[in-house]
Amino acid sequence: MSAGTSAPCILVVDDEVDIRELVAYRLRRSGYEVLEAPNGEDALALALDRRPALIIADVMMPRLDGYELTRRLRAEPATQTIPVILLTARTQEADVSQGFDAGADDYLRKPFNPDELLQRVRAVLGRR
Amino acid sequence: MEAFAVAVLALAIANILMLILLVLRRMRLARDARRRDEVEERLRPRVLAFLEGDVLLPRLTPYEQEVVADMLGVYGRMLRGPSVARIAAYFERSGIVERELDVLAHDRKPWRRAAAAHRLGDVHARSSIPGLIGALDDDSREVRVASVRSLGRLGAADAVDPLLTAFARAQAPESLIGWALLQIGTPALPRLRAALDSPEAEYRASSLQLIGLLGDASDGDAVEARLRDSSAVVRAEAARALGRLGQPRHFAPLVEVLVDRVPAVRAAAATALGRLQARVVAPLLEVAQRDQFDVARAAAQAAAALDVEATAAAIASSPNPDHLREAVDLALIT
Repeated sequence: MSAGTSAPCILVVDDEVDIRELVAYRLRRSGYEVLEAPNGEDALALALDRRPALIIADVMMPRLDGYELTRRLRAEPATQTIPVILLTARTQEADVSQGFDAGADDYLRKPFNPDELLQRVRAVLGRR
Repeated sequence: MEAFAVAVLALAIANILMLILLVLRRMRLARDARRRDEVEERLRPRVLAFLEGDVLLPRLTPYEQEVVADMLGVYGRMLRGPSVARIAAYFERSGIVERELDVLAHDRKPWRRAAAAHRLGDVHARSSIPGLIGALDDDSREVRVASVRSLGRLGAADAVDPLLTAFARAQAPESLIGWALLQIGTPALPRLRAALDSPEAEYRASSLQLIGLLGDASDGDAVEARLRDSSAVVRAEAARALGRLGQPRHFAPLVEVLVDRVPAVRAAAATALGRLQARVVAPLLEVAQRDQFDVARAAAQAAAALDVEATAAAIASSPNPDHLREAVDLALIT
C-alpha cells in the first residue's frame, strides 16, 4: 500500500508503451493507484521509493529484464515481500520456471486477457 | 584541363545536391514520426477506453484512421478476450477488412499482400478466413506464410483441409502449419483423422505427422493400422506418430516393423520403441547388430535408453559393436 492512499498501488513495468498504458488503464479503471516504469532500472528505483503493493513486469526489457528485476527486488529487504506478476510473450516451460525461480508470484502469457490479469492481481493481493 | 575542372565542379555540385536531398528526406521522416507520435499520444486514451468497451471511437480523419489501425493491430497481437472482439468489429465496420482483402487478392507487390494477410490475422477478422485460405495458393511464399500464421491466429477450423494440402505440398514451413493447426486445436482432429484414408500417400503421411503432434491415445489404433500402409513414407510417419502417442498394445506391431523392407521405416520403429520406453530390448539389440547405418544406430540408441547394462553387455559378443558402444556412451552422458 502506498503511503497516504487507500487504494493499493501497483507498479506496471513494460518498455512497450501501448501495453503499459493498457494495463495501467485497466487497473486505474478498477480502482487501483498505478505507477509506471519503462524499464527494470527505473522500476527498481520506484519500488524502493514508493513500495507498491504489487509489481506487474514484462520479462523482455532493456537494461534490466523482468527476471533480474525480480531477483533484485527479492534481494532488497525493503522490497523482498512485494509480489511480482510477470507478463511475457515467452511461453516455453523453461521460461515460466525461470520466472518462478527468480521469485515471481505469478506468470501470465501474452496474448493475455485483461480480465484474467485483473483476477490474478486480486488473487495475488488477496494472498498477502 | 578545363574539361576536367568542369567535371570536378559538376561532381561536387551533384554531391552537395545529394547531401541536401538526404538531409531534407531525413527531416521529413523525423517530422512524419513526430506527427505520428503526437496523433498516437492524443488518441491513445480513446483507443484504450474503446478496448475496454467504455466508448466508441470518434470520427477519424484518414490519417488518424491509419494510425489507430496500427495501434489496434498491436493490441490485437497482445490481447485475448472481449477487447479482441471489439477490435475485429471496428475493422469490419470501418471497411478496413474489405480494403485489406482487396490488397491481399489483387495487389501486384507480394510484400503488400503479405502485410495485408498479417494484419487480417492481427485484427482477428473472421470474415477474412476465405480470403486467407485462397492466399495459401499465392505465388509468393511470403504471402502463403503470412496467411498460414493468420489462419492459426484466427483458429480457423474451415482452414484445416487447405492447411493440410499446404503441408503436403510444402507451401509453407511444416512447423508453422503445425503451429496453426495446434491453434485451431480439437476442431482440426476429425479432418486429420479422415485424411488418414486419403488415396494420396502424401496426405496420409502429413496427417499422421500432425496427429502425432495434436492427437491423443485414442488415435493409436488408427495410426497403428498405417504401419501396414503400401507407402513406406506413410509407414515411417505412422511409427513416428506412435512414438508420441502409442500405448503398450502397440509395442508388438512396432517390433514387427523392425524387419520392414525399407530402412527408414525400421529406423523410425526403433526410435519409437525407445521413446515409448517399451521393454523390448532383445529385438532392438538384435537389429542393432544385424542391421546397418541409421537403423542399427537408432536401434542401439533405443536399446541403450531402455537398458544400458544389457546394451553394454552385448558389446563384447557383437561382431558389429560400434553403434552399441556409441549408444552406451551417449546414454551414460545423458
